[in-house]
Amino acid sequence: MKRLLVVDDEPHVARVLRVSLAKEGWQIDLAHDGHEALAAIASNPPDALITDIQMPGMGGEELCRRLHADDTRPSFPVLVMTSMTARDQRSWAQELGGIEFLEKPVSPRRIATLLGQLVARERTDD
Amino acid sequence: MIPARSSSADRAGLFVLVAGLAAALLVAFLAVRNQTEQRATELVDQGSRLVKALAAIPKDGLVPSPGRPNPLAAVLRAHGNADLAYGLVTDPQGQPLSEVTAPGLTPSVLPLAADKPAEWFGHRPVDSGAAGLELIEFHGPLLHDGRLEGFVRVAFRAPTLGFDARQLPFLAGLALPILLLVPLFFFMLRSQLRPLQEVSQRVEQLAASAPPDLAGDPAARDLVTRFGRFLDATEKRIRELEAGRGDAETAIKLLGYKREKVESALETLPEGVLVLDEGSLTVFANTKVGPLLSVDPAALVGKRPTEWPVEGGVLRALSPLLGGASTSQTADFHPDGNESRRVSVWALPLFAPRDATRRLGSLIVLRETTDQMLAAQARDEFIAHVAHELKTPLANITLYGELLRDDPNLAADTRVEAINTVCDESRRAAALINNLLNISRIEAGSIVIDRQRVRLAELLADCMEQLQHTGASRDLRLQVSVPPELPPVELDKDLLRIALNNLLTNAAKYNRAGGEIILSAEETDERIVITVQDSGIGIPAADLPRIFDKFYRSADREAVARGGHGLGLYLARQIVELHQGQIEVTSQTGQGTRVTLSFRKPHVLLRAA
Repeated sequence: MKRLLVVDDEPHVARVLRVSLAKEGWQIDLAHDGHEALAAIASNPPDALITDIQMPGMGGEELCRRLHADDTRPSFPVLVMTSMTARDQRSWAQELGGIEFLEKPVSPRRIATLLGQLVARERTDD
Repeated sequence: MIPARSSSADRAGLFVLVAGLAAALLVAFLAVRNQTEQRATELVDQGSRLVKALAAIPKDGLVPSPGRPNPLAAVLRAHGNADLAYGLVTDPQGQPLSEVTAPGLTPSVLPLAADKPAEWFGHRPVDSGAAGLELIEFHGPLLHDGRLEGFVRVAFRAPTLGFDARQLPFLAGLALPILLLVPLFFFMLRSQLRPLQEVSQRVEQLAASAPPDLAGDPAARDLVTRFGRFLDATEKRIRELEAGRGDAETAIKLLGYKREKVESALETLPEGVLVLDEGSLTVFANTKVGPLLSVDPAALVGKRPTEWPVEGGVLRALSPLLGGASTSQTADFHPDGNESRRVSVWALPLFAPRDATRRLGSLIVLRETTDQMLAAQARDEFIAHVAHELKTPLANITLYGELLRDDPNLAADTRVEAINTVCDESRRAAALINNLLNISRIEAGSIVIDRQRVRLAELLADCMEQLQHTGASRDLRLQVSVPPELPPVELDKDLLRIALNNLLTNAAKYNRAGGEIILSAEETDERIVITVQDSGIGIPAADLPRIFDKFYRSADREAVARGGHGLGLYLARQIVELHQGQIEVTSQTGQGTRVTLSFRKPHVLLRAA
């Protein structure tokens, strides 16, 4: 069973993915913001992470920076969901590198495909 | 009459002649006297030098000795002055030791004071012994080892005022031009005076004789005509000049007035205004410029922009505008480097009124555009926000839509959840769009409230029923409470319904399973009060002051999880305020929220008619 951590202040993405990714062998955990996500990662690192950007508390950008700065954490793919389409809003992600963007509205099928590819790549890298 | 006139003219001529001669004589006398004085000065100078030279020679060198010619005679001869009267060498008592005398003259016997060394050197007038001849004697001591051994005395004829053969050529030279000039002067003067005399004679004749004489004298008639024309022309010219001067004065006053008017107009403008001349020199700056450039406007006048005592950043922003381009240009800068303020600058070329190719300078207009900047920022933020808020329900609809499409064997409860979410989120998007439209109409001021007779019991029941239809209140107990005696009120029914729907949607959304919503109306002494009370999660105290702000959303987890776009309360307040009412919220987290709308009775009660 692979574990996907969904970081979102709204429950819908996690709920839908829980249903649509179940047959792909994914178990979904939900964190409501960056702080919760960091705590979840520290106690039980996931196989992949999907995060929203705009969240009360710690947002997606800050979460990604923290993850990037932490050399000790286990490596896993990071996907960012965004409704902001302006290119300059993504410059921080290009700086950090290794971050995939998913434009809202996200499609569960696309997430499933992308996750499969990223996890496979992560394995070959290891 | 005529001879008398003529003789008076001759008298004038004679007077000029005499005066000329007198002046010539005076000049000659002064010249001669001046020359005499000059000669006397020269003589004193010469004599003093000669005596000093002789006094430097030892006495024995001046006194004749046997077998040797008189050395004094040799020295005086060598000096070669024709005016020399005599030369003497005496002992201290005045007894001559050596003597050289011009023919016919006797040396003075006046002794010198041997006991007064201060008087040893000097000169004095002495008697010549010959009539009418004055002498000047120069004397000096003969010393040997500081002891007085005698005196040397030399005398010359004193210069006189009398004619001197040597002065003759000089005087002749002086007299000749004077003698030549005086007649010339006289004749010139006569030729100048003659026409005037004639005019004067004619005028006198005319004055003395009767008018018929005038007709009879063609010359006089001609003169009078010409003179009259001359007078007319002169008078006309004077009038023209006076009129011209008057016009010029008026024009100057008018220009001054126009200038004051223009400056006063420029001063009254709400913008900062600067005028630069064609050489980019500042010729005018109104007081509004001061706070915008943080400078005393007077300090700008007479200076080029590069010399303005303003902040460097401001000059850098302005410099592209001040190059004297022939089209208008604009730029912005932040005064005092303060990013939250913005000043916009327009540089407009000034052209000559009748020649659009001739540039007279530039007009620089400065205006604080902080409000526009903030408005533009707010608009950008608003659009970004609306886009985000619209995308969120659409994203959820897509999510569940795809789930339903891709998985025909979805579990029944998941399917129900998916369909409910699609419905809820569609309604959420529609509500957002409706609210946005209403807000934009209210903010644009295009909504005119249409007061109608409203029975609150009916309106409130209607709103509650609508809430039930949306399905948002599935697990909630709903209650409407309006006392039957409540009078009808005058309100815009449609707007009030929008406000109540938003409040009821919130009351349902933020409620708990099994909770309740009470919608009530009551009448107090002064007001009609409508209350929406829920038993929901409540609003954290920290959020309360901002919940009516546009797009404000609580960061509270439970609130966030329930979605929302931050416009419902803002719109409700706008609607209540349109009715001159008040909206208040009291809330306790975990207990519920109460929203109160109240309207003063005179504003909403029907007039007794």
